[in-house]
Amino acid sequence: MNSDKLPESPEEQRIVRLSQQALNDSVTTLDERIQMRLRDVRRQAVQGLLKPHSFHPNQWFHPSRWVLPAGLIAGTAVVVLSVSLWISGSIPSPDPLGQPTSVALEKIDLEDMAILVEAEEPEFYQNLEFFQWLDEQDDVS
Amino acid sequence: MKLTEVANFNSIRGEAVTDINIPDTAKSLDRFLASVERRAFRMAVLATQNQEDALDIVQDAMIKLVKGYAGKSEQDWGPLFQRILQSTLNDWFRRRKVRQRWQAVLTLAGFGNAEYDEAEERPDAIQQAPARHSEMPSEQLASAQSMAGLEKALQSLPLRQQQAFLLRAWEGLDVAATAVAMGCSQGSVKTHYSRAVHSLRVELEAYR
Repeated sequence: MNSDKLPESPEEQRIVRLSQQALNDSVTTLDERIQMRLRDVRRQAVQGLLKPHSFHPNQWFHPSRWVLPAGLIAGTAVVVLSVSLWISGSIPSPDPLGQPTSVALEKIDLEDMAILVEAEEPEFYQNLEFFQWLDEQDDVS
Repeated sequence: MKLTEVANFNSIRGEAVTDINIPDTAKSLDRFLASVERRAFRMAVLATQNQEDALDIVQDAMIKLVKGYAGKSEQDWGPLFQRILQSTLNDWFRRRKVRQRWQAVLTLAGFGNAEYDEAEERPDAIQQAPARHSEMPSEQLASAQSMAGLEKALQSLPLRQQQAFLLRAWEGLDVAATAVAMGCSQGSVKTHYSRAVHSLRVELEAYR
């Protein structure tokens, strides 16, 4: 534990002692509402252990590293195409002979577009950010 | 996935695969996190002076520990959690600096809130605390004021000094462990700590 001695001057010992007392007191008298929220936060975190991980984030050349960018590009393309079709669906397109031809296209609901774009669970993105941060820590160390 | 199924967690650093029993690990993690959550929250409140931000930071740190280090030995969880918590606090401060710079730029450009006040964004945690010492004997009141002054002094420390002081004086970590938690050298820990003690001594003079 504490193998190094803290400063021994009486004044510094007093400061350390008072600080410990104040901080310990603040922990034992923590608001009930905050305690409940901390419990919820803890349970949510532990629940994350029960969800499977299916990628190897530390391997830069692993295909899973590129799923997110590729998925985003594909999803964005789908959204752009969908919006284009939706917009153009309300505008009749004339044929070369000058006779208007209405294109029967379905309007795509915005919620459907979100579903089309969403390729992974939110935790997937969260994991990548964390493991990229871990890689950075490795580089620093 | 069945709870009784043993999961193979591939290493995140090329180490050997660790087989863990998920239900047992989940229980152990829950116990560990329950033992550290309040102190972690207090540390985060002292650093951010905002309870909501502190809760977010503690949640982030817990999630990172669970998702990244559940397969590690239980005795490693303490130092790992401290390292993750302090790093998450550092990240929070960095993001806040960037946000403040952008807000300053936007304000100058006429898009921001000219009356933006940083102090308003982070309510004083002492002011948020319920008044517990309204009717007390003078000696207890003096002691309570001293404690309130000390807490305020701790809040006002620069982040690195605050981290070094709390980890050494409150968590009881030695210099080496504190250096690992803070991601700095042992010399830096000693410097930050001594400056923190000096600042606190000066602040507490008013309450003698």
